[in-house]
Order: sequence, then structure tokens, then C-alpha cells
Amino acid sequence: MLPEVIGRIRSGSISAEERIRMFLERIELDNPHINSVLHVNSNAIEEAKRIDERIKTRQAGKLAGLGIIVKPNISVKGLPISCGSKVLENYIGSFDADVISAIRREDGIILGMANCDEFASGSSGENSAFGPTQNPTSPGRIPGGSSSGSAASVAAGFCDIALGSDTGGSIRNPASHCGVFGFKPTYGLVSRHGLVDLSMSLDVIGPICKDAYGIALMMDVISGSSENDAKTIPHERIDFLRGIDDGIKGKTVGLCSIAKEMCSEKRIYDVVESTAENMKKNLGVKLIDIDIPHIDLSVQAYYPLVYVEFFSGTRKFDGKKYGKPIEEFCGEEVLRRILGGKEISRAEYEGKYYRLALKAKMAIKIAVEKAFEKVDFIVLPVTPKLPHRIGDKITDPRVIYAYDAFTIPANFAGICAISVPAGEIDGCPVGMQILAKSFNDATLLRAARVIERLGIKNA
Amino acid sequence: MKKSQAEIEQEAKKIIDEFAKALEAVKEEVNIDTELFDSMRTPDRDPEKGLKINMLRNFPKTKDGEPQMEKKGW
Repeated sequence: MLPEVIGRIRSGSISAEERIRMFLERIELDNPHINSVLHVNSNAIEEAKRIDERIKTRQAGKLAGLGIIVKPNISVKGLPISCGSKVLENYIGSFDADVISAIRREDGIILGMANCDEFASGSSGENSAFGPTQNPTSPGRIPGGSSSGSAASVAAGFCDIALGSDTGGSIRNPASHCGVFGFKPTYGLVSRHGLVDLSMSLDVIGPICKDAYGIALMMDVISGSSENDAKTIPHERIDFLRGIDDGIKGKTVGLCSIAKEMCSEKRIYDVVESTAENMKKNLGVKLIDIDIPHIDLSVQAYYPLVYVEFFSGTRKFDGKKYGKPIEEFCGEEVLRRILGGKEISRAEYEGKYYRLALKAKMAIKIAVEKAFEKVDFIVLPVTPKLPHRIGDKITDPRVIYAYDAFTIPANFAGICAISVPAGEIDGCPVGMQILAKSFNDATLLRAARVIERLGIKNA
Repeated sequence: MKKSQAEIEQEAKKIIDEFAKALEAVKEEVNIDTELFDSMRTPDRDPEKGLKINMLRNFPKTKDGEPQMEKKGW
């Protein structure tokens, strides 16, 4: 676990260089079949040596000696920011995103760039132009997406913490399928400066780690307002590590039973329900049933909005400013979103699609906010079905879109949410999603931490 | 088999039509314009302050503080 690793690095029983070399050896050995890392930072060992000097003089930051893998839609100076696409295959980051600058300030070491669904457009990890990523925890199955390489890298032991981006579940979905923790922060808590956007009204950057402590540690480093992202909201600094072991006794947890009907794999709901019951029994929380009207329309509201924003956001990839012309070099799903967005923009004078989707988004947001009048946390499944096998012939995109049914509401409401490993079905890890109100991120991580420490899992 | 661009476009249209039909189930009156404007505002900032002045500055013709539209100019 990460606190022990940090202790060993600080005490000198393991050096940053040794840890980084270990990760690089694992990547060299296992990445050819997992395919979660697209590019390794050739300066990582030199950076580790420099940080070892800082550790010796007790000047090292919070992330000293820890290896970080980054989704390739987040700009890192000098490394390829491919977005998992041939369009930006040779595009090298010219600056560090705010989150990367923050990691470097705290002596984290960027190990490399992860694989991901092309331009974060996907929920399976199969849409990368550089090949699908394998699920290290459940071989032969998809790792989930779109932060597929980030979650798979954590699960495979290629890094301590990975960064992903989450627009409709792209951190929580792969975290659930790979059996690790994945956190979507409150919208406006983490700067998106340097993030190649999928849908700027929903996008957030967040961490993936094997434990809740690592999530809190990374949030401690990357959260905060920035003049580079006007959407970051000025607020008092949140100390994510203080009180992380305090538990959530006395809090009220809402279980949304309509989710059972929405699960095509009912055993997933059973795992969530059983975990919620265990929370009641062991953590001193009150468990009540709640309703979130229109949650079953999340997918239908989400995709038209994403199509439009993505169409608008990708106009810069015209082959002149950045990379190659996107329509000529992108994959099927990216093209579908561009063409769909173009059609919606064209037909919108009738208010036919976009306004309808915005209305549904607002209705779901209001429903979630209303539910939080009664509860401190909401628990939901992360996905309604188990990860399919890589290579399964799925020709209808709506089958893939359905993976996002339970993760989209948190993006619509702008609140924080986490996927916590909760059980296993047929050898596949199953995550439970916990949602909390905006800026209650630290409290949410306390819930994740106490569930992890008590080992509440249902096999 | 790889889908053609025309097939993908048809598929996208079918999806957005189906989704739009499903979304008609939302009957509540929800003010979506509030959402659009709220996203531009912070408590200590009024983004519309000076907007009219700046807009008028860019108009070729103004009269009594109002823009004068070109008529039949095309």
C-alpha cells in the first residue's frame, strides 16, 4: 500500500531510482501484451536520481519517488500527446498542464504516457489507434475506458498513481473493471489547463490508484483554482489527508434501487446492495432507499451533448495547426461523434436535439441535488454489465454507450464520485460507485478509505 | 468489415433521433438558459458589464445607443 511505500522511500530503505527502475523493468516485460503504456519518459531515471538527492536533504515533496503515468490527452512537455490517435501521433507537448506542474513541484516522476480510447471517445479501451489495452486483472476482457491505459497501468503495477480524465465515467469505468480506485473530482476543483477536451462542460482530470490514500494524496497535490482554467472555482484549500481515517459514522447513505432494473447483469447490483448493507452494519451509517428520476435517460442526454461539444472542439484539428486532418485519420467512433455533432448543430434551429438534451441534463442534475437533501452519499453500480471480451463483435455503438449509464449523472451534477473495488463476478472485478455533494471530495475519500480498510468486499 | 463514412453518418443520425425521442419523456419545465448563463458567472464578476458598449463600438453604424442594421445592402 502507498503509505508504506512512501515510508520506505523517506526512510531510505528504497531509493526513488530503484522504484522507478522497477516500474520501467515491469513495463518492458509486461507492456508488450498489456499495451497500457504508449510512451516511456526516457528522463525518468535521471529525474529519480535528482529527487533522491532532495530526499537525502529532506527537501522532497509529497510525491517524492512515486511513479506517475499520464493519459495522453494531458499535456506533458517533451512527451507525445497522441490522444490515442493517428491524428496527433507525432505531436509533442510544448508545455506542462497545470496538474503536471503540480506533480513536478511535489517531486512526482512522470514515467510515461498511457494508452486510451481515441480522443477519450470510448468506454471499452478498444478504440485506440495504437491497439486495444488488455485488462491485467481479468485477462481477455476489456479494461474499460476511456482512461483504459491509466487504469490498466495501475492494476499491472506499472506505476503508483495514474492520471485520467472523466467526462461521463472515463476514470470510474476502467477503475471498476481493473479492480482499482478511480476518482472523479468535483467539477471546478482541478484545473483542466492542458487537457485536450472531449466535452469541456463535463471534463475533469482525476487520479487512479490501488488505494484510497493514493487518491487523496494526488488530490492534495493537483486540486486548487488556477487562472489558466476559468472554470476552476476559488475555494479554501481542501486538506485531503487530514482526517482520512476518521470514518463516516452517523452519515446517511442512499441506495438507488431503480438501478437494479437498469443493470443487465443483476449480480452487479447485488454486489452494490450487499456492500451498502455491510456499510450499515460495520461503519455506523444509516441506509435509506432513494429515487433519482430520469437517471435512466442519462445516456440519451449525454451523447448528443458530447457529440456537439466534441464536434466544436475538434475543429482545430484541421491538419494546419495540429497534427493531421481529423476526419481523414480518425477511427470510427470519433468520426461518428463528429458527424453526429455536425448534424445536431445543423438541425438545432428547431431545438430538436441539443436543447432537449440540455433539458434532460438539467432535470437529472436537479434530481441528484434533490436526493442529496436526504443523504450524504449515494451508492450506485459503476457499470450495468461486466466487461466484454476483447474482440467481441459489437457493431451497435449504443451497446458500448450503455456502460456509462450510472457514471454520467455525477458529471451532469458536477459532483464528486469514486469507484471503489467492491467484489468479483466470474473473475471480473466489480466496483461500487459512491457519490457526494460538490466540494465534499475529502469526505467522499474518507468513505472510500474506511470501506477499503475494513475490507468490505463481496465475492 | 469497416463501415463507410456514409454508413457512420446514417448511424449517428439514427442514434440522435432515437435519443431525442426518448428524451421527450422529460416533461418538467426546466430553465436551461439559467444553466448557460450561470456557467459564465462568478459571484464577484459580471460578465455582461460593458458588453453593450463594446458591441456598439464594433458596429459600423449606431444611433441613440442602438445598432443600426444594414438594410438591403446585399
